[in-house]
Amino acid sequence: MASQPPIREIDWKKAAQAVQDVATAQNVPTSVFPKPTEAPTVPHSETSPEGQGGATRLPKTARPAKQSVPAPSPTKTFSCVLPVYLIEEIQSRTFHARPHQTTNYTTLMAFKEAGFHVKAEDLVPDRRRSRPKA
Amino acid sequence: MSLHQRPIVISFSSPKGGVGKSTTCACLAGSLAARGNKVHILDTDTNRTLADWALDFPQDTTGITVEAISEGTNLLGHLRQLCSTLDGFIFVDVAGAWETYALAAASVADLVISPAKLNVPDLKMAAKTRAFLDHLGTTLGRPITHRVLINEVSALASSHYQRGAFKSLESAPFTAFNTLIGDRAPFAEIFSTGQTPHFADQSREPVRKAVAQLDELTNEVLATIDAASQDIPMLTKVAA
Repeated sequence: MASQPPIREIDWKKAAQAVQDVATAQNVPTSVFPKPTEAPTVPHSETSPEGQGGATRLPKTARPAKQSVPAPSPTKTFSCVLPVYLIEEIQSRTFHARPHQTTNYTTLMAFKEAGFHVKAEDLVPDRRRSRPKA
Repeated sequence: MSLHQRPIVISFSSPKGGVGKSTTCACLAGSLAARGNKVHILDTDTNRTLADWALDFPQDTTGITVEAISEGTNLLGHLRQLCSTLDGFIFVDVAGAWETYALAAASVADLVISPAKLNVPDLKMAAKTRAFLDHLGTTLGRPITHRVLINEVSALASSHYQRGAFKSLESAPFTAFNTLIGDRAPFAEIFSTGQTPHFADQSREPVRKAVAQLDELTNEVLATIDAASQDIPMLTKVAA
């Protein structure tokens, strides 16, 4: 067995009191576990196959209609020299705006807000997450 | 002086769900088990993630035992009993919500680990956890050792984004482990294969990388507990 670091002795009484005090002060709830539930029983008419013990049939539904999503516009790399503080602000805003948002999106939004024409289909927070699955 | 001997207690805690508490708990348990330690996991989460994992793959959790804690259990009383009968490590995996089991586990833990991903909601919750533990520590009369574990760091994520995120960590009101856990398949695979990276097929490159990260984390966890205990009186060495 690997060697363990030294450890302190636990004051169980003090711990129990502290838990009670903090739980009361901060209104911390006790754990409530969900109870296992059974599927709700639906009464069937006596003449239906289900009512006579047949297999449950689900109603047939039409396939959902496919929605056409406009394809994003073609892109290409465009490089320009920016002050470091501006680059840092773009990175910072990308991080703080919301998770999984790219710097590309932050920059495009800035262009749009400045009056440039940016198509809605090109404003995708993170294109990697919207790629169609193979 | 009598030699005091008890298992090391580590709690995995965050009021937010989906941050990686159960996965980290299982992977770290696997790492310690691979070093010859016994790890007993108390699953207090209502979702029973780890209890179900142990039931599904009983043969793949060598050195690790998992116990599901039911509603109404006196967790502190149970931990006290376990501390007097077990050796090695006790891990407490708590639910993604602030409730009394999280408080109880933190009140006796040698280390509280809050996993978080590199995004604002997770990091905010890690900061809230720190504030909550500070309150508990003040009431207890001793500081609670707490570390945030940044996990699911993507090698594919934009370096700009990650740099921005890491920069915000520098001013964060908590201490994070230096070790970062990557977004690697072997971590998620434990729930489909039953094997933690240390017990998975190490001929696979992703598994070897996951093992290397976990080894680094395990060393840092042990060093953190060791360093924290230097500041606390009434210390006794546990026999190796």
